[in-house]
Amino acid sequence: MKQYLNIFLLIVIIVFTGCKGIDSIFNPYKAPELDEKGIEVSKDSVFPRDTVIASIKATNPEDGPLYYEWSTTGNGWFIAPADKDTVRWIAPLEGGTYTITVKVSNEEKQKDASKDILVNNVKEPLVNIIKPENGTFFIQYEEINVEAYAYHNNDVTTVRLFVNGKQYGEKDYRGDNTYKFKFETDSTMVGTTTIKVEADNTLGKTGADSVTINVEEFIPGKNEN
Amino acid sequence: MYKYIFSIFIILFLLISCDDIPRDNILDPKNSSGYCQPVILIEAFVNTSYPACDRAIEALNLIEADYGGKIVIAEYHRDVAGSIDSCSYLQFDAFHQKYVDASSSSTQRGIPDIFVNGAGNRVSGASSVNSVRDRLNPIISELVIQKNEYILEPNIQVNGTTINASCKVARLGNQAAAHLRLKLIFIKDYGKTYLKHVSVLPEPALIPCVIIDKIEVGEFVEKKFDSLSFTNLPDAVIFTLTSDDEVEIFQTIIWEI
Repeated sequence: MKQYLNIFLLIVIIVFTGCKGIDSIFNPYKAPELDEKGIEVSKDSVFPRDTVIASIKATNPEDGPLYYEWSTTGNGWFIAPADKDTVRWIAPLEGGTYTITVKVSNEEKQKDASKDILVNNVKEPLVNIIKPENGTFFIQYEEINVEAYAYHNNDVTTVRLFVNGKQYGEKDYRGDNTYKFKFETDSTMVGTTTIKVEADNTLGKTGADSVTINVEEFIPGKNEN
Repeated sequence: MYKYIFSIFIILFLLISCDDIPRDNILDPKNSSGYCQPVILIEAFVNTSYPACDRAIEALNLIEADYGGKIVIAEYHRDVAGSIDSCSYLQFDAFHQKYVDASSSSTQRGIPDIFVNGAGNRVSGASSVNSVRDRLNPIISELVIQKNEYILEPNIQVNGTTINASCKVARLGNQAAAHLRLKLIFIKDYGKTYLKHVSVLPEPALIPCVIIDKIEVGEFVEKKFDSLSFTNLPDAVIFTLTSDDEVEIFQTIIWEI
């Protein structure tokens, strides 16, 4: 009889100690649930040093607290405390698209959400004429190749070439930020001629660079041009 | 007897000591350190009817005043569309084309077009006198300070309207030379500001040139040109030593008649 009692007690102990494992199979620990809207921001298009209020709505299907961990790309930063469901993000000086991310976790699991914020750089696009160099001499009827670098954090939209104030070409945005034009000198350019390259960005800001060249009067010979 | 022995002794002494004479004359072709000053040839293709050519010639006249005898100027007059130049020769068209082809700058041929010591240095067009001067000055100032390895010793004999020209050519620095040409350019000064260095040709019209196959180490060669006849005698003859293709100029000298 005592022997059967011992076996019964052993079975009871096994059942009770094994309960947790069985429960975890049929009722797994759940990760936090994030609102389908994800991160909500006060503004998603801002200027440098603007403050953006970002928040995330999350619930914990399990007992216990939720933990928030915020991060950002680029040089933006969060004003402390940055471990709550709502934070304040300061936009960096450089324009561009930045991503803020939040990781929401409970005792065992986590979920994350991200949001892009556009920072609009108020500066004009940077333009630098690489070719021709200032003061270069050319002759009348010579083809001149113009090469310019144009860049802006918020992307350049259009680049235009002007010669003595008259437009000679226009290019759309190029990924390598290098824009090439060519034009032929004529009699109106003899003497000092100004080459100007202008670039617009997505905000409508315009940057420019210019060089001065010398165009020398040159008369084609007989049956030559 | 003693007189005879003494003479032999003197001759032997001279023969032995000859080798010891230092070749310290820089114009001695056998002197391994020999060199001379360069004379820079500036050749301008122009037409009398265009202000741009006047500006170029005015700039050349100013440069001539700046550099004196270190430079020599020759102006080749060319016809251009709509403007025939009374001083032009067809030969200058081909000559100009040869320079343009050899030039590393623009392939365009026109006037004014200035070359310094051949096709390697080119200044085209003229928007102002200063713009021509400003471009020529750095080229010339660099060339005039370089040591030159060639020496020319010309000789001219004028007989009525006929010129007989010859020239001795040596390479300095105890070096040999080969594949050269010696060319003559005849200059007429018409006494006008823009017609001071006009290149003219003899009859029949040709640019006289002789080939120098080789100059031995430490030696010189003498080249004679055929007799050259002129309707009007030129005022000067430029002797210029060029590469075999005539687009590079090594040395120049001018003989005033």
